[in-house]
Amino acid sequence: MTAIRQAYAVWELTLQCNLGCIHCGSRAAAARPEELSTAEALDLVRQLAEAGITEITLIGGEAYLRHDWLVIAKAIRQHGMHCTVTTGGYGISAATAASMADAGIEQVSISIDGTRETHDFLRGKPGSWDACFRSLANLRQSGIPLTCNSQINRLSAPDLPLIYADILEAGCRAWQLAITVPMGRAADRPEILLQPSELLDLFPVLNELATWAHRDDLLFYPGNNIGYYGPYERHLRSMQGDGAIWEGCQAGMNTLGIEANGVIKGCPSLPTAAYTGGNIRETPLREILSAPELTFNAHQGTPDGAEHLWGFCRGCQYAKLCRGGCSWTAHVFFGQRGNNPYCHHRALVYQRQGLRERLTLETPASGEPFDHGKFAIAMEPVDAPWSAADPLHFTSEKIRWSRTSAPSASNPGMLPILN
Amino acid sequence: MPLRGIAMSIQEPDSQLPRKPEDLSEIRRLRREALEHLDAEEHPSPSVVYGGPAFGGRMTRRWTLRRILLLIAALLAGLGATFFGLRRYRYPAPVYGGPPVPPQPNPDGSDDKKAAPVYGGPAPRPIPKPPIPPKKPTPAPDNPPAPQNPAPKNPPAQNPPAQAPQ
Repeated sequence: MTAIRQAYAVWELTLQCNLGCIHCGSRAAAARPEELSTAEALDLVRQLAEAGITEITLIGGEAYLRHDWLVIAKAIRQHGMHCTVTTGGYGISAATAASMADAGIEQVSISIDGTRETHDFLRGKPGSWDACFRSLANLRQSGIPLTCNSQINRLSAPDLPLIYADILEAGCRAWQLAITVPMGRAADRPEILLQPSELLDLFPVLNELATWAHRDDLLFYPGNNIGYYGPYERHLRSMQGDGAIWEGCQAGMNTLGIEANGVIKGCPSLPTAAYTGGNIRETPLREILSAPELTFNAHQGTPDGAEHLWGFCRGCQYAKLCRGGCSWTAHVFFGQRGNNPYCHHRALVYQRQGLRERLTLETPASGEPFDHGKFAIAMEPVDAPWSAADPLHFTSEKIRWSRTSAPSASNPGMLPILN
Repeated sequence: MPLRGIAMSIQEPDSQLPRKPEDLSEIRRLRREALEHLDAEEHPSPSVVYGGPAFGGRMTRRWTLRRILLLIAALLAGLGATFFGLRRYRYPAPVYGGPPVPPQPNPDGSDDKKAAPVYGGPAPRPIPKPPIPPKKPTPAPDNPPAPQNPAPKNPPAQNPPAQAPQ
């Protein structure tokens, strides 16, 4: 089973949200002041189809909080594009699920970030985990194929095997994972972010989960900020095609991000300030697609394609193909792309040299949607004792392989510290 | 709709997306190069994770294949060891190159008694000795120098004529 996308847009229909996730990159809560009208949204659907987009994923905030969201979904289908939805899954009733199926929504991905306790804490709302699984049951009854997505951070990483078991039981057919990075509210919580050397403990776990997924015919889909070129590279990406490996950021090449007020970016996760190609209210999509903010990846494979690299990534043997991994991840750490601290290969290289990297927040984020702070990176001996002031340090010993491994034993005092 | 269906959309011929990289052949070359690097790097076998996986420590496919190859190699080695182990009881213990070769008659039929070869291979053939020119009678000097080497009592005979093997 593979899933290869051709040209893909992720559309934030509204920034309004009924959850308060502590790692939300867009700081979703209330709607943006000037979100697109129904007429503007429908016109954008037409332009997206003309541009060659083949699939649109509706997100938020929470997409279903917009009154005309199913009208837009229907229009997407009528233009011959696939329509999928990614949701926090809070309160999708059986009736809503049925209307989603009627509108032609072909797949729904629900965000699940841990076991009940961890998920409810990360999602900022008690009862949200139970609500997710009720929504999954309703959607399953409607016949819409279900998938799941999870954030990986120091709180959720120990729960990954249990998430796997839960979503498999709920009937999910795919699982997409992404590492939480310091954007939006996550930038206000650096203590929950993985340190680069912690990838050394994370990746064997991911590899194990990918093996389970092969066994269970669950599509295991590592997100674009999980990589790169480590021992498990091919195994982790094996469901994306035979011999699939990371081939560099594709923002603007086959992906678009749309904000609810009409802003167009090359990828939905990229910071608004630095990567906005234009606004659909002012410029036709066809012209926006030629903007430098959307074509910065077009030079891949040429000498210019790796010019932006710096730090470790500039001297890496995979530099020309990798081009610094996920642009979003690198940018939200350092304010510019081209040097990605979340890299398994990099952590292994430093480990062999007896070193590890430590990221420290230097400049806090401003508090706007899709904002970020600035981190400093320091080297230290790989075996230096971990600071007592950093109790969330992730190690493989904290992994909860079964429900009998109590979180209180593996992560003493984890959640109260953050409260 | 199955997930696979997501990949089966039809592109408009004049669409802008997806874009193609400026140099697709170079991307392919870089990809091959990256795969070679990945193959060349010494990767550890999948780590044992503390606490053990939930379902009893499943192995990766790569590790399974490695184990299968090791098993086949071990079986072959066992068969070989058994075969040569049995041979030990039937032949004198070989040194290097197998058991000693029994003395063989010289092709020319001569009856040289050479020591049995140790490192294998037949005994070397006798090297024909060059013919000795006949001595010329020389007048005896008044004070002949002392001979450096005493004359052999039995001077070597000329090579006997080759005989047909009997």
